Amino acid sequence: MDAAPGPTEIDLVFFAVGGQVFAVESAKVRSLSEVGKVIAPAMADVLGLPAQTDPAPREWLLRLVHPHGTLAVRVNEPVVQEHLPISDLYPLPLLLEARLTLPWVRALVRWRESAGDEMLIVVLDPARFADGLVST
Amino acid sequence: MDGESDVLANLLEQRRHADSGIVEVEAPTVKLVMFAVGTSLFAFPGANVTEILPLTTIYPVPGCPASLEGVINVRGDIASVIRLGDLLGETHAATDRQTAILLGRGSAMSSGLRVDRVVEVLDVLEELIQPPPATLPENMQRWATGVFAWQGRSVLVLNLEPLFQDYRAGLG
Repeated sequence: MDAAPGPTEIDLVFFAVGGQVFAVESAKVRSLSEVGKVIAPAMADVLGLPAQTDPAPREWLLRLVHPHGTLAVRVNEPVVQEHLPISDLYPLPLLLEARLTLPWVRALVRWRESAGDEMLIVVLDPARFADGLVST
Repeated sequence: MDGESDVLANLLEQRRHADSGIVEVEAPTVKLVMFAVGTSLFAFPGANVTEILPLTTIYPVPGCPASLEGVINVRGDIASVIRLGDLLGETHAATDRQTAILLGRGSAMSSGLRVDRVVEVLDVLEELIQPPPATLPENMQRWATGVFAWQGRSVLVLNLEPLFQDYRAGLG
């Protein structure tokens, strides 16, 4: 009996943090909305990156699925959802994985923003974010 | 007359086999990729280096030590890039057209290694490689396999395997 074929595509949401682009699986995104009066940490602070201030890009509130509730973080434009072939997704190189101090960094993906050059984007795993950031 | 011919024939035969007693011994050599980091010269065995790349875009990954600059895309393969000078106690020269990334390969892992410039790929007689100096720092003692002279300068030969193992374990 042949094994069922695995998925051939992955659906990701890309967003900017501190001038760098990151991604999460679309399935892990509960909602995307304007920040409004919601108090939520900036993803730049969570990742330990300097915030982009000049010019300050528009912020969006990303609510992410966490095993213990919802993780709300502020991210920057552009926020883009895209289907990509699985062949564009890569596990972390062994040495890098061994030395990482942020467990949220899960994978890498090749991505081209509109007509720009192809980039390597870090894929984050919200399930690995600390429980302290999660609202139930 | 026949006797003279025989003498000549014997002499010629002797000459024909004059070199047959000499056995050519090819001295063992090792292929090395020699490179500069800061003010020093180092070399890896050629078997440890799969490719020499010009400096390309390095994508940073948050949560990495400063010595791990990020990742690069090598024709569809992803490789980490280590700033080798941080491990060797050398300050890298400013990035220029000579800056290169060596794709290093160990038995269980591989990574890009930033160097200031690749000097030469050369075959060195093994007998010219001396034991590394005992004055090297402890970690360098584990990585260094020898030293040889090149154009009046010392070149330290490194083994990538223990270097990768130490780096994976948290050194540097």
